Amino acid sequence: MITLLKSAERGHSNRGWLDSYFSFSFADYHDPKHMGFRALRVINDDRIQPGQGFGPHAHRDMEIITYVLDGHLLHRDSMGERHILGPNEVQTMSAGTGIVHSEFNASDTEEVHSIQIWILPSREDVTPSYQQIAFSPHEKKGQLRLLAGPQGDATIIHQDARLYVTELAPKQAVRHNLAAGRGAWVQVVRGTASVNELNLSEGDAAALTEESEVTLAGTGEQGGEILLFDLR
Amino acid sequence: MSQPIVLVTFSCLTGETEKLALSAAVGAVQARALIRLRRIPDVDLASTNAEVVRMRREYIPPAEADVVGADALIFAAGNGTDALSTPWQEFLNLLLRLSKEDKLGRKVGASIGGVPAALGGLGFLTVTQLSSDPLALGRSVAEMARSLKSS
Repeated sequence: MITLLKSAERGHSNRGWLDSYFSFSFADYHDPKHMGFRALRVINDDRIQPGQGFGPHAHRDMEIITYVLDGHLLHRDSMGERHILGPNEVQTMSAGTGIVHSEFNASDTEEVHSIQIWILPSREDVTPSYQQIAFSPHEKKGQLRLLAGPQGDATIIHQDARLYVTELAPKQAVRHNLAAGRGAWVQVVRGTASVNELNLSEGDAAALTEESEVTLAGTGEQGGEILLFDLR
Repeated sequence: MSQPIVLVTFSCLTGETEKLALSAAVGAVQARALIRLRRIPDVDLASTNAEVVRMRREYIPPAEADVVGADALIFAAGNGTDALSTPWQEFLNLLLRLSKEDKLGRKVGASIGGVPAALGGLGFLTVTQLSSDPLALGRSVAEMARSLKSS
């Protein structure tokens, strides 16, 4: 079964310095029908104005993954980590017992476009940690590049969930097998694509349950960039 | 039961007291409190020190709603802080007024470093420095606020 969430059906908030679309309920946007999908709790599609950002705030017991599409984010946290995150990198913060962090657009001239993802951990009170890895853009072209998972060449999260990214040219396709009982969330973050032959535009998403396979393909004139979550 | 809210207010020109404040905030989060971090504004608004400029960008000053909405307050300042600097004094005046209006009496208070002794007379349930470790202090304050909230 495939359930679509069109881009325009997402929650939306524009505070001037921050323009966000919420796939699931977040902050002032609350829709009981969209509270998450399995362990996936938040997908926020954020555009942050130059020099602006989120001041220091706290998290607890959450796996927080940030993926930048354009621009650069400056991260600082209470563990003393200070990093700049850009395209073709992924950052994962395990909040565990508690962490305070800030995130600002590192540029005074260019907007940053990023996707922030929250995944519920399988257990509480883990030791807080910060990971950031970079990968070659080729690793996501025409194939799935693992960004986060419980193991592997990726940032490690405390949940039986895997997050992949792929960039597909028009008519280019990738296939991913879903084990019995697992579900998938597909989010088109740039361009257009199809999932199991259903067309999706930028910002659209699809939830797949009781499917054994996910086939993603680039569509239109440019193809698209897609995040794929494989969830227990 | 709703989570206690801990307001951590600090003054800092170097980033050092900010670390103590962050540590206290993390302690409060460990004790499952919600936290608000606020920075006392600078006296020298012309300063171009990189740390000061960064903190000015990242933090907002404490407002009355922050104090009223908090179940506990932690104050942090460096030992060399001029306790009666104009911005601190303005914040103290706010606390004094709220104290006279009996709006601080059921809140927990604690301090780190050279925070004005005047805070001791504002009617908080405790202003004793519970621990020299800001992390442990934050935890203790949050736990105290939680038991007070549930009593």
